[in-house]
Amino acid sequence: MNQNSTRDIVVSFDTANEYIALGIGTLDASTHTITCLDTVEVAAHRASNTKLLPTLDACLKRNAIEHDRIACVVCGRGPGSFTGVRICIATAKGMASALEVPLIGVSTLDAIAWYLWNNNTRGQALVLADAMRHEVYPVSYRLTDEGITRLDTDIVRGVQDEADHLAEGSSLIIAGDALKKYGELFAPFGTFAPDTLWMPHGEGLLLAAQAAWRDGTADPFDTLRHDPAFLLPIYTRLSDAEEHERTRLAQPSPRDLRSGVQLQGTHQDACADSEQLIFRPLSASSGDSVAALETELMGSDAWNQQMICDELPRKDRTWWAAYDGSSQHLIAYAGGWIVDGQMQLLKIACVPAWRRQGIARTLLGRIASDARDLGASTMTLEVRRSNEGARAFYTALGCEFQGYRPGYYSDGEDAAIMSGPLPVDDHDVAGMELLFDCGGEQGAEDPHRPLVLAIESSCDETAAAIIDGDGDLLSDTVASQIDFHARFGGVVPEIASRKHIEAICGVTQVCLERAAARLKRSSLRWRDLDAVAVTYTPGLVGALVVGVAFAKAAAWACEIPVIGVNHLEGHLFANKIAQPGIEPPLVASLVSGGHTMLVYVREWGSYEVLGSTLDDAVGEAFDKVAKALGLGYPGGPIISQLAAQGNPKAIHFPRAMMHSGDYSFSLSGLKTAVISYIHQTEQKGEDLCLPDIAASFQAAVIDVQVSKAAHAIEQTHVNEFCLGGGVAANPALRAAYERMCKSRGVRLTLPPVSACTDNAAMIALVGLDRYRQQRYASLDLDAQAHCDLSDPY
Amino acid sequence: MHIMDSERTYIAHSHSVEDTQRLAASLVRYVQAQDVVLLDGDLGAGKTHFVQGIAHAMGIHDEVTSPTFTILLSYPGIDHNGASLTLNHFDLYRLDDPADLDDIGYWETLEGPGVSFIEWGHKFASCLPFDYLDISIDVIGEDDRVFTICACGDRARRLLAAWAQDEEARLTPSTSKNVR
Repeated sequence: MNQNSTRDIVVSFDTANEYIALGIGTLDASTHTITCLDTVEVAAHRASNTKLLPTLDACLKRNAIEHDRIACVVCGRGPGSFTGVRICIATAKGMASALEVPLIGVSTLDAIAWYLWNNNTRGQALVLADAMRHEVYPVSYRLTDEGITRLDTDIVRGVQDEADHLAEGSSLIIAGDALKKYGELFAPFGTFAPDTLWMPHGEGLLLAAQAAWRDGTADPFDTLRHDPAFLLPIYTRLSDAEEHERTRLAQPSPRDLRSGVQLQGTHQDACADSEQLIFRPLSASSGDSVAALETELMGSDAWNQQMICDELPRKDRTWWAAYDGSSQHLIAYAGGWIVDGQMQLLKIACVPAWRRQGIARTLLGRIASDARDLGASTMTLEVRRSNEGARAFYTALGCEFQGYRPGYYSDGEDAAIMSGPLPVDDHDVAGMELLFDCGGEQGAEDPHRPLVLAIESSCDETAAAIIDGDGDLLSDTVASQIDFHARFGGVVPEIASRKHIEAICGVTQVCLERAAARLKRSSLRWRDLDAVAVTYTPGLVGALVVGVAFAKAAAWACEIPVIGVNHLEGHLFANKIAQPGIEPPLVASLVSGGHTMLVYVREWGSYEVLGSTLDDAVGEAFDKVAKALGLGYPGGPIISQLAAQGNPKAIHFPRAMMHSGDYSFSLSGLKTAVISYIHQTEQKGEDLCLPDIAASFQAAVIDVQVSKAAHAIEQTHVNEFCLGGGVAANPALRAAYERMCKSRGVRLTLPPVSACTDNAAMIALVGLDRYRQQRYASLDLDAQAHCDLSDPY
Repeated sequence: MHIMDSERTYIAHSHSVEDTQRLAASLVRYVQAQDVVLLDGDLGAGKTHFVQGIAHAMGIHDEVTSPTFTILLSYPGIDHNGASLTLNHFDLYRLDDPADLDDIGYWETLEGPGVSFIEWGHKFASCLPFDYLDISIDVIGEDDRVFTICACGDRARRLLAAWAQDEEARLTPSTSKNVR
């Protein structure tokens, strides 16, 4: 790219509403003016990811604009369809990161209001965007000749509720795609703008960005201030799973509604972290402990149990607590109230013995993160005038003193009012633990080409890796979300997608930095790469979409190829890490939380799926059994540790399809058998022997896996057998395969445990292979939930 | 939450897979984008046969199988006027957690430009659409089925009223009060 060219172009787009709006303009730094050059609007129902980049590419080509003229990327942040907004933001992040330019977010609804304004609409206006499920995102504006003034913060509201609080009349101008569905309902409350003005438009996006530039809230030339990692979607609500959890926790005696099995004893629903602390949303069952602490710490300003329990079910509140991992005792709690885009800190307290360990900071981060999802962007709080420690703490978080509230506390002391930014964990990887492995030092100054960066986001791990032309991994980075899913007993798709959006910039950035260090270079930039590979199937669509949109946009920005990789092929290639000389034909067993299959590898790139599970995957069965036993998540490691102490022959569980003669698996019957056994034993009043149950269950799984694998080896006459997938880390399964392969004289390859779980190194290996064959994907590459590995791609 | 409309419940009888598919085909004359039909009945009652009849009448030549594993399958089809209309076929049987519906874009699909049929649609209260035709299939004999059909919501009521007038559908008003 030409470093000397002038960067004067702004590219803007929005896909929040199943509709692509795109605008390109020129930036005039002297007058802070954006002049619109071209706009495109395309309907894209569930197809934003396939259409956005090709549309943008065509628009820039039509205007003869080279990528190195792009100075800034502007994107719509919603609110809108969660997936639509994420496609928009992931694309914008990939593009801005690779171009090394600022990324500015604007409200999708503001862009609609600005488009109304640009079409000479003046007066009171209401934008109603369709939030689906009979809800709307309503925002009121005042449109004058000078511009638009937003009168409300972002919120989601029931359609009828919104109509109920409007006054009849004709002076209000109403626009937005919700009118397509609810036109009749809203007709009495105003005059509808022409329906061509109901959707976001490129001109509106550029005007919204220009307004932010002029009022100082944005600067399209300030790369540091608008780091692409910072931008996040406007959601206005928590994920369904979190909302259900809040409802459940607000009940006096929470029950596990999902497994239907509730055992006595401790139910460890969240992993303790390294300091033996457990963080989880506050439940009503802890109400008495909170009240006791309140009395101890807050004196006459203490809340009682009733006051606390009244708080929990409210939708505009967020309460989190910290527990001692060993005793399960409550040690700290915090609560916030989200009103008008601001989080009011209601309570934060910590047992004295546990202070100064960052617990309050972590709790504050958790409630701030919820508050952000509920539409807040700032925080306000009261603190005792004399409490200098607390005031210093909030000052360090960026809060500023606003004034005193005289005699606020019951003993007459004044409250100091402080406010500032929402204290979300602004680590670049969203508070996730970041693991990386970049092997030994490499001294070469020039890397061996090609350099391929690979991204993996198919489930609950955001990962990136870089491989060089020798097949050496220069860096391998993973941010695991497991802590965020643990308390739900499984991966929650909406939470996974949200975490990928938060982590993807940080993970890829760290990956580039580690590779640079390995190459002994001061930096490695996107433009130094030769290709970007990305997992596009199979997996959770909402999660895959983030990686795919980001990878495509980054590759597009640098004008290098993007390579789509099948995740399962990645698991097969992971064996090359342990055994570089491994050569087909071979048989592989892929077992993970989402897959259970036997694959015949004719040659690399040519696969035949011999058989797979008809219902649950092996990893899923481990998780469900662990959950039924109240053991927590993920189930694999927990069951395998317990099983090591138990008798695998104690209970005979069914070995489904062991002698079916084919390679199909069925695990749902086994899971049901284990759960019925638990029920029956409990009904008889007998104690459950957890190690024996775990060992017997695991033995039933392993027997079927090994016997089918042996059959496949015999039928295909191969001399190589290998494993892949997270369950391949199970020591008993590995041992059983070792015995089976030894007795048959077949070479067994076991990938290193770290390469069994989802990682990007394996995606990079496939990416390099496909790069050499020039098998590239096009800009309309999309995420795909399911895919048959037998089909070449 | 809407209260089930107990005023108008219709019954249809089927004595074969062909009967079931004819009944389904007659419904296609009245459906439009964003209509939702819930199908309930035991395994083997004929829910998928019903959707196959719909698919055939919508000019879809793909083999329609139950999306038990994938939860959702969509097919491009046409409505009775020949305009394009997507058929969305859901099966919630295998779903453990309604939160998983987020990932397949459940609400986006229901409220998008297609007509949706949902097997086991009553499984989670939080997944009930706001306006839907409710069809439950009871097994009477080896090939005999009774379809009980009622509407929830304005649009579904209009859809059912139109369908009930169709002679080929042979819907008869239920004599007993709605028992569901």
